[in-house]
Amino acid sequence: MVKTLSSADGTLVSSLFRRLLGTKAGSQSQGEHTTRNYTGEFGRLALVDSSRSSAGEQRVSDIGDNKGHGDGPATRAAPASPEQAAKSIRAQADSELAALHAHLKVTTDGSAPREVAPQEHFTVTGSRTPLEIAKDMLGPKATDDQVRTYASSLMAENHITGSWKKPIAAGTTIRLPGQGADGSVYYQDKGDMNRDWADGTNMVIRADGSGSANYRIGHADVGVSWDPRNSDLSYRTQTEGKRQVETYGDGKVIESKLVTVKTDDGTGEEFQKTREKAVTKDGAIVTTEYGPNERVARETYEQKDGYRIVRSYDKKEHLAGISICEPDGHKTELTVNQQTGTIEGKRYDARGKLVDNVALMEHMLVYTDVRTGEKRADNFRAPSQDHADFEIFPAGKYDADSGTISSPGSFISEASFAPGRLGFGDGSVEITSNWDLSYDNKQTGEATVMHPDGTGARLHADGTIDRWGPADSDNARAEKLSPPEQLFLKQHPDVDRRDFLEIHRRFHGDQTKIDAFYEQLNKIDSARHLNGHEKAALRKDLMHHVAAPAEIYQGVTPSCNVTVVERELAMKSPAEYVKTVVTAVSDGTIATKDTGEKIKLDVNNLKMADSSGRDLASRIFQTAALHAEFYPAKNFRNSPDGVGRLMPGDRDPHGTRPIVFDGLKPAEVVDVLHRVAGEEKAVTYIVSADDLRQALAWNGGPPMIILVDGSSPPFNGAPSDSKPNHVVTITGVEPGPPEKYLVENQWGLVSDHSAPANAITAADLLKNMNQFQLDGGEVRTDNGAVVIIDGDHTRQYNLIGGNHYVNEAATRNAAADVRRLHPEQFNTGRKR
Amino acid sequence: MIEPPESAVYVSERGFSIRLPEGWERMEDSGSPALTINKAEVFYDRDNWSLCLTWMKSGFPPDEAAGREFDSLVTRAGALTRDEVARVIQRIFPLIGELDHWEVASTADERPALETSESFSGTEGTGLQRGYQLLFRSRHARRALFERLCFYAPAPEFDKNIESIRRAARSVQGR
Repeated sequence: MVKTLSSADGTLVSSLFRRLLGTKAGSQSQGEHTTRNYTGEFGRLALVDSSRSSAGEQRVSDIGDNKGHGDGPATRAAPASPEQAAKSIRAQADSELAALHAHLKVTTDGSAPREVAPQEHFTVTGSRTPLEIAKDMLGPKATDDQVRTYASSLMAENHITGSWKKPIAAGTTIRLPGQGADGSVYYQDKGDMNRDWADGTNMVIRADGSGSANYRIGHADVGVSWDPRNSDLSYRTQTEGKRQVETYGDGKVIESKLVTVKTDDGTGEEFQKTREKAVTKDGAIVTTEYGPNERVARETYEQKDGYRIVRSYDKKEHLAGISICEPDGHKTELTVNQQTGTIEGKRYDARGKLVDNVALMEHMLVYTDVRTGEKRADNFRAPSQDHADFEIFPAGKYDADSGTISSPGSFISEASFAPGRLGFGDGSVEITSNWDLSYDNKQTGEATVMHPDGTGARLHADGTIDRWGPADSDNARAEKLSPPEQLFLKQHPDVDRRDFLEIHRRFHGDQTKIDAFYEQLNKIDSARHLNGHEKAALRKDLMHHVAAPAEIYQGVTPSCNVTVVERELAMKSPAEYVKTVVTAVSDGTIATKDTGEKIKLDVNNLKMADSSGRDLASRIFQTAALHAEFYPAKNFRNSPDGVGRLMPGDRDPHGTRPIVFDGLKPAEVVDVLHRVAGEEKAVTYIVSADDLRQALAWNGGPPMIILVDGSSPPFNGAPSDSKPNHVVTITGVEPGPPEKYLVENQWGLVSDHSAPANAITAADLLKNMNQFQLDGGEVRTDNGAVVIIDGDHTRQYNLIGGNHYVNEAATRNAAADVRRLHPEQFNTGRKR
Repeated sequence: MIEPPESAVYVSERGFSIRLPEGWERMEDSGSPALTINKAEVFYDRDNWSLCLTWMKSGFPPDEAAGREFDSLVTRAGALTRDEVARVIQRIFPLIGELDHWEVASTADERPALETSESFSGTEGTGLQRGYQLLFRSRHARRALFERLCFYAPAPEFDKNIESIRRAARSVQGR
């Protein structure tokens, strides 16, 4: 059942999406709406904003690519108007010329130059050369250079070519330049004002307001140009030796050097950029540094908000790292794994002390505090059409207890009911409280998963997979999908590719196991008793359980006992797990592994939505498994409260009314493992950490089910008057020291201990496991801890010194605990 | 108003008592130790065992934020919205369907509680179902642990029994 609610959240979510996408509220269409969906089968809360625009999407590759330079947004100039840019450059030229000519010697005695007005009609009397006319006009004190400058200008103004000593015919009418108080010689030509100085400086000011000047400062040649209609034409170029600096009116500065390059004709010289500095429209100073052949080596953003962000590139202009300096001195250093494309790093305080581990996923910087494990996220947006700065703003504080992101700035798109997994933004990025990170790019088909133990995988757009991790078996490059995997993706393009990828990674590319899994999963397509929505939900659930067995959830039911069996199957025999669930709902039967008997199931009861919080796959599996365990003594039925009832069975000599399901006994847990999963496991007592290590070895490694007290640390559940009262699964070992166990607990990831950061020391785990209490009596610690490892399921054992001994007394005591075989045991129920 | 007939008070070893509707009694459990942190207690109509009132206690804390929001809802003045009630309940004992009634109530020992009813479609052939919850904090719990009394039934049976169920649920008190 899907509910659609129009809620006040919609405004918030839309607003946050706008922030995320960098769009303005006013640009949204009137028809925008936000829906919030709760899907019982998925056990997830999804906030979906239909107003989301794909135009604003930003990918990792966009952040990391090299499109920020050149015409891109990274070097977009500050929004100075062309008039302002021209004015700025002209003013700089005027200032430099004034300084340059303040002491220009234009008279032999150093006196001020004679001011000469220009003449439009001057008739040459007698035969006079331009040089002679210049001398006449400037007077006897004019220096030779000044006279030559005047003569040259005269010739230019009158379009006279040849030598300045060539006479002009008598009676010829010509125009004469003027001489200014600054020593410049000036004249107009077709509306342009030309000014020349004796030191070689020249300036042209055109009728349209544009102009140019060329002069020399020291050993540097300077060329200046301005145009009030085009800021790109307002710049100053200073060249000195092999160095050149171009300064634009909008503040952009380009430094270049003269290099020898190969040309079609051999070799030549050209200026190549070494550094470019610009001011963005948002006021950030962007400095781009170039390597050989103008390849971008580094981009630095110095923002008005005090952040300094540096992107560095390798020789192929691929993003190599990102450095983020915060105004308070914190610094984040991220590096890019070129093989996987993942971006991870560390954040340090102002004194250089490590404070966070950081990963960049799509547009999120996700931090985990190295001391507390607390998580939070920042939005990290590369410059775009809407903003020329990098944008960094809080995405909220992650609360591991609640599995929520707190305001301000929260925009959870998806949070599982079982707390611990969050989707951000459009849900393409997910993090878990165990610090797993993943993203799914539905546009390109790419996906990435990363785990805190250093393992991860990437699905590329071409359908190949890279895997990595500390073990040899974790690693593979460009692994091709098998035909069954390709077919599954083709037929089910909407599946979460993170789960698809993670399944491939978890089984290390074991194609036999993977292909068998998809063969079974495809049977959902033709399964009976499921509508389209239920099929999609079941497919999603089963894939996620196999990809992330830590998230198989018991909800508020007393079903921890079969949840560990469900996890065991999902981890070890995924195809069998899927087959059990799909056969149960499609055929209405479950085949027992011990006798091969097909037990009939009530399909409607398997599918029945309840208030437990479990998803559809877990409801089906757990209900079917419990029914198989109790049949034929009792018929297990799920109930809307999620507790379940044991109904009178075919071979129930006493019962006529239902009894409340209140959990399984340890002997029944191994019985259901045997009956439903076909595993021969036995209840085994241990006493020490060494025993625990040897039990794991005896079991052939993880997964290994153990009995614990869920009430006390490190699990910290509700108080209980009996211990052990809960089962969980050891899924790995951190060798330490101290040695720690990775433990998956089906209360949701926030109650989980399966990541290196929250793994349990052997001592703490044994301390918990060794507790024994019955009905509120004394808590004893001499009864031994219980593990479920390889062994005859009808017996119970002690593991001593690595050897497995049958515990005859325990076996006798537990003989009647399998109530299916001893239905008289049900009559111990107390009726008040 | 006609007072309901005096009914039995059930005292649970799980730390609560409840005045059951007339003709209702506790359903047996296995009576032996099993791997469960908190066993549920189920009460049912002797004439129709499918009608059950279930007392449950969360085996593990749902989330601290949900606990804080719950406290805020049940102590605050003014009307509550459907969304804010649903949002809190989802994270403690999830709804199955649409929330269609909610109010702040209290248990007999004056613990503030959220009382809700919901509607949902049952599996094929079972028609419209309705559900009732009275949700309140556990006493003496150091963390955000919750208890609830819940009742789910086909709509006709629900409507017929809801008043006596509500009275029974509100009579719960801790020891």
